[in-house]
Amino acid sequence: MSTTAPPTPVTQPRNEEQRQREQNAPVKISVRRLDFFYGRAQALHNITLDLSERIVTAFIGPSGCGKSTFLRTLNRMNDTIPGTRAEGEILLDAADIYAPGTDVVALRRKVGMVFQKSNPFPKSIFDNVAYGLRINRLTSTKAELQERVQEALEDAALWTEVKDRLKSSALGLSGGQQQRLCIARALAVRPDVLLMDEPASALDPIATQKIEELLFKLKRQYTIIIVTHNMQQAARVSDRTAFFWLGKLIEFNATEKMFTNPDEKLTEDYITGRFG
Amino acid sequence: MEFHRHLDDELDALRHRVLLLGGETETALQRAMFALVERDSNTAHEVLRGDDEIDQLEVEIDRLCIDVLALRQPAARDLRFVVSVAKITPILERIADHACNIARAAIDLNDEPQLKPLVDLPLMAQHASGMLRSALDAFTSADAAQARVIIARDDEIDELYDRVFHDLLRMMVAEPSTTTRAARLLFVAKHLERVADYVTDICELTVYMTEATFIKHSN
Repeated sequence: MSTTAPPTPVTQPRNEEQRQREQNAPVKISVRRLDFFYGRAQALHNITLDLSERIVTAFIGPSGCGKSTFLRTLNRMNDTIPGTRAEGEILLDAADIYAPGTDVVALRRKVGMVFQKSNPFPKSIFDNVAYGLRINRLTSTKAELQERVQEALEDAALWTEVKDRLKSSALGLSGGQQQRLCIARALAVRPDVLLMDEPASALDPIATQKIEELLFKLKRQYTIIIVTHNMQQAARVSDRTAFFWLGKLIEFNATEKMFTNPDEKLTEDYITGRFG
Repeated sequence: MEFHRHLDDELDALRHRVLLLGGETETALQRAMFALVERDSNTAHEVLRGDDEIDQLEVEIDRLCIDVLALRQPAARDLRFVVSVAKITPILERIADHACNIARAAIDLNDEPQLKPLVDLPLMAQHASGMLRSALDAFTSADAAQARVIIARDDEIDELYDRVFHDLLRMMVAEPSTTTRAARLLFVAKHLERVADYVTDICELTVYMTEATFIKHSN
């Protein structure tokens, strides 16, 4: 007779455990009463929210609602636009990123960004990924540089496709590969946070699926914030979703709650397509 | 806004079909009981023949639900509505199956002398049928409060079932020759009791659809 113990009943489904983990995730970025202006025009109004570590947060909302502007405040990318001004607080690991004397280059190394349109440099695949490592002098030997490039390409699920042609031009890659190369380039400097502004909007469904699968993998290591116009994509990839409208944060909730039973009528109208 | 007009049209079509299915099911139940109480086997046969139409309606609603899910990818209240419809449809079809079973029992019983005048069974059927009608109204008007009231009425059916069960059991013990007929009536009572349980399920889905709250298995 077998002495094997009877199977232990599963008291919590796996996704419940995951939910618990997400709920208890520590805060990575804390935004408090953030207002943002383009000249005299106010683009963001009194935004307050906490973005948790190692989960995917999606920002959704109609065009011009401020979601991309908000994303770009998180690594001060808006600083490059003349006449812009942020008021309020954005704390990354409890340190205010808008405090005087903040090293913006170091900030952007810690908070990487991937854009809607892939923008590889007209260089080789290897040099694209190595670029940030070189200019920031993050590696000391050639072997270390190669190791970090390979690691970034593996993390971006591109290594097996390009390992035999690292010296080829990055511009010869397909659109989806170019976007994953840009992700690899962002990952090479080992950021904590990855901001993604509609990273799959210009890609076909297969390339989009690869990016989405990549997000699942990357969130084990990185805090990911994604702006998307594709609500199904937000539902598929994110753990939490923030809905913006006219520069205001209308609702910030667990994604499954947002897409099955949002708290706010505006959110419901938007995601059911009855907006306006 | 063309896309959303289409979605609304499709959701309306689904709502309409479910109500049609609900109406057909309720009628089947009432006619099956009529066949039993009035000893009218022709009506019982009509109920059995009508079941195909109900089955076809179920398949049609299934297809519509799958189309809406695949092509429109509804969210929030729309998603809850489509999911609820997809779950209510087979429940209604099963209620219609119970109506068919009652019709079959009626055909068998009508070939034999009447066991006794039926009092509690028609009362049970009236309750179950009324619950079904109210449940469909609550579903259509997304009235969770009404759905909760209907759920509470299931206890009345359970009490009636207990009464019928004990009456028929006493009859079988006292007069063993009545056993077959009494057993058939007992099955009819069981079918009605199950119908009320299914109506409860419909009401639980109405609460889910309206409030996004799962009350099933929550006592």
